[in-house]
Amino acid sequence: MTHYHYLIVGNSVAGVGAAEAIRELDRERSVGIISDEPYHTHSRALIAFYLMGRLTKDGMNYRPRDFYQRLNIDALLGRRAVQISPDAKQLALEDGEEISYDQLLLATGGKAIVPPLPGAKLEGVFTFQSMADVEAVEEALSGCRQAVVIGGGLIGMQAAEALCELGRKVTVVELLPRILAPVLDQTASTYTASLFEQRGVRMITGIGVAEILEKPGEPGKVGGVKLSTGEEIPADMVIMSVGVAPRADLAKAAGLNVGRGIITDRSGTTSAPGIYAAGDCAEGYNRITGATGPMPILPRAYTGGRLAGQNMAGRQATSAGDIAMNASHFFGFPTMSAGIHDTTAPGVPAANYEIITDTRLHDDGYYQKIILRDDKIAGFVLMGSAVDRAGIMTGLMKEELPTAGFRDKLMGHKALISLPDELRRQRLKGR
Amino acid sequence: MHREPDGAIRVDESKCIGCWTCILACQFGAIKRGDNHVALKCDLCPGLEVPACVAACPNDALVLAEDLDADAEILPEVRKAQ
Repeated sequence: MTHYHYLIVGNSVAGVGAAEAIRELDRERSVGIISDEPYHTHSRALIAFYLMGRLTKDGMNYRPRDFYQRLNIDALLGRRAVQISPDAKQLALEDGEEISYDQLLLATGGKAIVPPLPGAKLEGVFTFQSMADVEAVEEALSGCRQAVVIGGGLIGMQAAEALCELGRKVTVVELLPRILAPVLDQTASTYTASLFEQRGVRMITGIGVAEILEKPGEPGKVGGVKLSTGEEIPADMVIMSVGVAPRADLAKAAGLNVGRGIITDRSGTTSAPGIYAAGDCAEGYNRITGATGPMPILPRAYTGGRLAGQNMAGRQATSAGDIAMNASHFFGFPTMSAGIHDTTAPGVPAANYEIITDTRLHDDGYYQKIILRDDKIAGFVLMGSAVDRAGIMTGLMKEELPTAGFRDKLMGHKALISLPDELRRQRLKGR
Repeated sequence: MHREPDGAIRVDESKCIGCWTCILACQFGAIKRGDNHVALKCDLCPGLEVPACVAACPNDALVLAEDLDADAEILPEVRKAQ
């Protein structure tokens, strides 16, 4: 039986982060990475750019081609793990092979949710989350003149942008009253929607899809969608982008503690000794809202993977939790948010919030909103040139620094130099 | 964005698609939005023996020094791969 001291299931951001952290501490013991995807490690977040032709497949590589060789890692790609036996410390693969391990990391990521809509299995209905998804969409492009995107979250809007840039007639249908609600406040959401509308994308919000329709005369093929209002929108392609859920089936079947995602302690250890989880498959702790649950953001996947890798290699390390953050740039227009962006959103704890805004939307789309709680930054939304040097605010939020001494410096163009001297000196010395 | 063997963190312009997540993450505000949607940051002037700002400093206030302790535990081959 093949044996790896460190076995990693998942070849994306968290898996790579763990492998790098392990190899920083231990270059002797064996490391294996297994993935059901046959590709070299790549960034899923870039599939829309690939579709638009702005990147080649090689341009999506998350690490150079010789990554596994250089770090002396066995990459078992295109092979699916089907069962964990935590007591025997073994992993069974679909092809019948069994692999034993001393330390196991589950970095299995997320999977696109497909709602049980009538017609969801028709040809021409796609999810948009993986390399295989974008390859399928690419192949169907030649037969696509008009597309409907169901779900106006980040993935849906990226798909809509790509299809629009490729000259297709696009309609976005979002059940909630506004697009990008998980990452943007009302003002930024409305402005972003207008960027799409200016380019001919039809935006429908607050209305659901009742069913996906078959094309008349072409059985089995998608022909459009029917809204809950009864309106029918013709389409040759439908993208389902209603959300991504943690891939936790392996962990659940093995008896590990699983909520909406795999539950870990602050070192990345699951309820089973010797088994760790990191990235989108694992639940996270949101430092700003105090909530525990899925947090599918890329920086958390990398740092969570590194943390698990360090602990696997024997260095005890813990996480204080994470901050939700997102940067987008639809049609080249930059938008960023972090922490709480809307104090009235579900899941945001009641507190005394103070909101400072600077809105010059008539200008170049410049928008700055900072949310303070107990004098500390709890979140922000930035658009246009207000995004420059945004990381300074992310840092202030992470460090939970009281802002009273430099409140007047927070708005406008942020510069390290404008912070109080003492704070600036601390920064320069590092942590 | 990657660390090179000499320790400098540089941008591979052929790979950057200008998502600006690095700007949101950099606590020093050291990364700028460049033309053609490519992130810009100090690359320590790789073609020069001494970075231009250091060479131009009239009072030895700017120096190029390496913190030898900071990354001592990162194995050289890992650093290369990142």
